[in-house]
Amino acid sequence: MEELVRFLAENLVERPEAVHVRTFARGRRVRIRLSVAPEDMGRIIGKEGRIADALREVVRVAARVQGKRATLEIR
Amino acid sequence: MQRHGVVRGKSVEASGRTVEEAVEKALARLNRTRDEVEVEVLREPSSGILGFGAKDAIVRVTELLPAPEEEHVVETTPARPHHVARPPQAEAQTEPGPGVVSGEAPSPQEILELSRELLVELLTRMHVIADVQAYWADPETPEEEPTLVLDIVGDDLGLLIGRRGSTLREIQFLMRLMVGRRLGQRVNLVVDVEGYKRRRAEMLRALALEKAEQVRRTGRPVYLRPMQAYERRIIHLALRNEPGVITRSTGEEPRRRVGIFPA
Repeated sequence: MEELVRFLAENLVERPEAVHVRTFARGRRVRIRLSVAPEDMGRIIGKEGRIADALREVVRVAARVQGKRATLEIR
Repeated sequence: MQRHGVVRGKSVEASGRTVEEAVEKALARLNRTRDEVEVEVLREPSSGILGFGAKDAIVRVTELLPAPEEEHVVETTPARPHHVARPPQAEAQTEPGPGVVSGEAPSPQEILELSRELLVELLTRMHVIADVQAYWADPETPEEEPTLVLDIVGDDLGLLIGRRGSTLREIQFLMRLMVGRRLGQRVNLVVDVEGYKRRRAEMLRALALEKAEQVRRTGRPVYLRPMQAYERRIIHLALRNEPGVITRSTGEEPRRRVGIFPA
């Protein structure tokens, strides 16, 4: 899951080197925390959260493929 | 990471009737030879019964690159003139994913390959075993640009479609952003799952013609159920040259729908 989020984020931002992803797993629940350079926040959130919504949807589906539940935090 | 003096580079998945055929395809995409890669068989092929239920082999092929020299050796030993070229692996840090096209405008073939590779990488990281067939589709009307179709094929892909195609829409949205970023230009691309959208479009066209006939017969307007913009567009286009009827969208999103009226 971490790889997925990193891949998406690095392909969306201006500064891929500032992409950081951390995972907190407890059983089937996975919390993924993504942080990017402050100037890249817009490229991850999008207008009215459009990009963040899309990222969350893809993460949710990917987790389900593996029988898990994942949430994505962006900060 | 540096076990056996190699590091892993780019990785692609491919399918074929046999494992060998799938590996060949993957090697062609990576532009590598068999001894420069690691092959992982994700699915053995099966022939099915009389060709029904036949399944292609799926393999993941990963480049094996020579391990980089120890960083400090390169940096602190002036005796060694202009150090060994940095392996592609080192570049991957700043430019993730498959080949970045730079300089002149990319050709349609380059756009196709880069887009397909990005989608394959995305699916791999989603742990979805599938292949991507990419092709340029002719525009529906002459004034439009051609569309790059990325059709995901594999088993049990319903999850990728989502409710009324909602997941598919998000994947497509992200793919457009990522490809656009990589190429520095907007690409008119569509992500489909096993022709889901294509079949749906055919169904909508049939529905449109049927309802148009009803409108002509009864002289009364017919309103279709609310649809997404691209679906409404299919209806409008299908009836554009249909005699005796005109179409118009009414209402607000997400309840906006097409009405078919007697002309």
